[in-house]
Amino acid sequence: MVCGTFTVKGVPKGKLDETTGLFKANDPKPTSVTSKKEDDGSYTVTAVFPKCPDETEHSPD
Amino acid sequence: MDARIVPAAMLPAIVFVTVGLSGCASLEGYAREPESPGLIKGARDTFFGPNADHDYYEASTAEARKRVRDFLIFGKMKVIENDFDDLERALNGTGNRVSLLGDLAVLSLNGVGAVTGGAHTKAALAAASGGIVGAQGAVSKDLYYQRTLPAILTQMEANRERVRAEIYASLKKPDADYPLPAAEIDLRRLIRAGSIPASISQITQGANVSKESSERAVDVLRNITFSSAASADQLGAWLAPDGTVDVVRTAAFKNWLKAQPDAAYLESVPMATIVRAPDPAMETVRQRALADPALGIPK
Repeated sequence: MVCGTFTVKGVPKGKLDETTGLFKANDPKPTSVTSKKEDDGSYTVTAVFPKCPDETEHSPD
Repeated sequence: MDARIVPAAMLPAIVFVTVGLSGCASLEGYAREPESPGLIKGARDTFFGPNADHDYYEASTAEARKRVRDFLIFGKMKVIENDFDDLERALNGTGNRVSLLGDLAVLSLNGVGAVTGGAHTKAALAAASGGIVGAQGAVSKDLYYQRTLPAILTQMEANRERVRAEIYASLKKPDADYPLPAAEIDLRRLIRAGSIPASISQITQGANVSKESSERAVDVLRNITFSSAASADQLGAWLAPDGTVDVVRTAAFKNWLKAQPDAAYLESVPMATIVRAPDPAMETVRQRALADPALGIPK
C-alpha cells in the first residue's frame, strides 16, 4: 500500500496534468497533490499519501 | 445399566489401539530406521561416552591425532544425524498421528453413542468425544504441526548444511589449527542449527531483511526527477492520453501490477512514480508492461 510522501521534480508543463492525474488515480488516494513552479519553468509535484504504519522503518513523511 | 456401559465404552478403546498399532510407520511417512536402537546406543557410547576422546589425547604424533580426530568427528556427526532424524520423525509423526487418530476416535465414539441405549452411556460417550475434539482444536492451533512445519524443517536443513560444510572444510586443516575441542564447538553449533528456535529465528530474520530491503527500495523512489525515457513517454501517453487519465487503462494497469511477482513492492509505489522514475528497477517494470500483450499497449 502506498504511504508517505512522493515528489517528482522537473515535470515539464505539458506533462503536469498526466503526473498529477496519475497520482490522484492511485489506491489509496493521496490526501493532497500540489504542484510548484520552479525557476527553470518546470514543476515539482508533491503527493502526500496516508501516513506509513509505525513499524515501517524507512518512511520519511 | 453398568453391564451395558462397560462393553460400549471399550469399543472405541479397541479402535484406538488397533489404529495406533497398525498406522504408526505410514503416518510418520519415513522408511524404517536400518540400524537397531541397540546399535545407535552403542555409537552414542563410543563417540560421546566418558572415554570417547581418550585415543585422541593419547596419540603421539600430529598425524595420528588428526586421523583420530577425523574419525571421532565423523562418528559424533553420525550420532547427531540420528538424533536429528528422530526429531524430524517426531515432529512430522506427532501432527499426523494426533489428527488422524483423533478423527477416527471421534467417529467411533459418536457411532457407538448413536447405537447404544441409555442416557448414561450416551452422556459418557459424548463427554469423551468432546474431549477429543477439544484436544484436536488445541493441536490444530499449534502452528508447528500444521502449515509452518515444512518451512521450519527446510530452514533447519539449510542451517545444518551450512555448519556441516564448515566442519568438512575445517577437517582439511592440521590438528594444530583445528584440534578436537574446536571441532566439538562446531558440533554443538550443528546441534543448535537443527533446533526449532534457531530455525524460527532464522526465518524471522529473513522476513525482516526482505521487508527492510523492500522499504529501502521504495524510499529511493520518494524523490525523483521526471524521466522522459521512451518507455516512460509511451506508458504515460497510454495511461493519460493528452494529460487526461484513462480510468479503464489505469484500472487494467493496477490489476497488472497486482499480478506481478513483485506486487507487494510495486503496490507501495504510486503509478506516477512507476511511470516517470528514472530508476532502473522502474524502467524494467515499464518494459515488462509495454511488452505484455495482456495490457495491449500499442508500440
